[in-house]
Amino acid sequence: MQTPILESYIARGDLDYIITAPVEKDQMVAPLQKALDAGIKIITVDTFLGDSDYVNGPVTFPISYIGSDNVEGGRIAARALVEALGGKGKVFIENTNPGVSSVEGRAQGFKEVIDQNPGMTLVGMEYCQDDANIAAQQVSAVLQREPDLAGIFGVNVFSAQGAGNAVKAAGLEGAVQIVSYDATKDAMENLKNGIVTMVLAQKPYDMGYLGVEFAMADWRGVTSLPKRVTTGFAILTRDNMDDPEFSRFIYQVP
Amino acid sequence: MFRKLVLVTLVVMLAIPLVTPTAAQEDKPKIGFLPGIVDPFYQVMELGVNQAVKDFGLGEVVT
Repeated sequence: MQTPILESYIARGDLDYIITAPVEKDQMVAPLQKALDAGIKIITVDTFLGDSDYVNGPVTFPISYIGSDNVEGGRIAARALVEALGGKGKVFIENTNPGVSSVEGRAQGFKEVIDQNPGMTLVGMEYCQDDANIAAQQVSAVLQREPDLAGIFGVNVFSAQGAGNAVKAAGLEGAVQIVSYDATKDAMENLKNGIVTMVLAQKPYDMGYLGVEFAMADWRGVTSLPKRVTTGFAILTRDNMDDPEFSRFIYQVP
Repeated sequence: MFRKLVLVTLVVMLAIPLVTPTAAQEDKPKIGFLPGIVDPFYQVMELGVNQAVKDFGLGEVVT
C-alpha cells in the first residue's frame, strides 16, 4: 500500500526527507532503503522498522523512531482491565494487522501483564485489518463463543470502534469492559457512555511536529539526535475526560 | 557608453535576487509525509507536521 506512494516520492527527485509510519516492520525496509539510496533520509513515526533499535539492531538507517512505547501502552491497558475486573476474568484482544510494530507491541505488553495475573485468561486475539466492521463481527463472534467474556482490548482506532459497536449491539455495555487505544471522538463518546473503561491517548501531533523538527536539525548538521523518542500517553477516564489537562489530548480533527 | 554600462550593471544586480534564491531560502529541506492509514490519529499527526513546516518556513510538505 505504501510502496507505490513511496516510489512516487522517490521519482520526484526533490525530496530530502520522508517522515513515515511504515506499515510493515520488515517488508518496508527494502523500499525505504531504496529511498535512502536515492538521497532521501528517513524518519519513522508511530511505527518502526526492524526491532526499533536504530543503533545496534538489524535496521539502523532511519534518523530516529518517534512514537509511543507501545509495549508499555499494552501493559497499561492490561493493568486497567485487571483492576476493573478485580483480577479475575476472560479477556480478548482485537488487533489489526500482524507485522505492524505498534500494535504488535501493544499486544505483547498486554499479554505480559495478563500472564502475570493467574485469575485472568486471554481467550484469543484476532486481526481486523483496520476495518471496524470486521472488528465488530469478530468481537460479536467471541461474545457468543465466550458468554462470560469480561474484557476486551481494542488496540487502535478501528479495532476499538468495532469492539464498542459489538458490545453495544449485544446489549453488554458495562458488563464487558473495554480498554481502548487512541482518543477519537467515537472512543470518547463510548467512554462517556460507560461502554469503554479507559482510553489511552497517544500524542500524534507531537510525533508529526518532532519529525519535521528532527529533519530540520539534521539538515542543519546536528549529529546527536536521539535514535528513539517516546512521546508518552495521556490516560483518559470518565473522571478526567472533561479536565482540559487531559481533554487536550483528544484527537481533534478539523 | 559609461552611462549605458552603469545602467546595465544596475539592472543585472537588481535582477539577480529574482532568479537566484537567497542563501536563507536555499537552506531548507523538502519533506514528504507518508502516514500509515487514513484515520483520526494520522490526521492529527499531519496537523503536527503542517504546523512544524509552517513554523520552520518550509513552504509545504509533500503528501
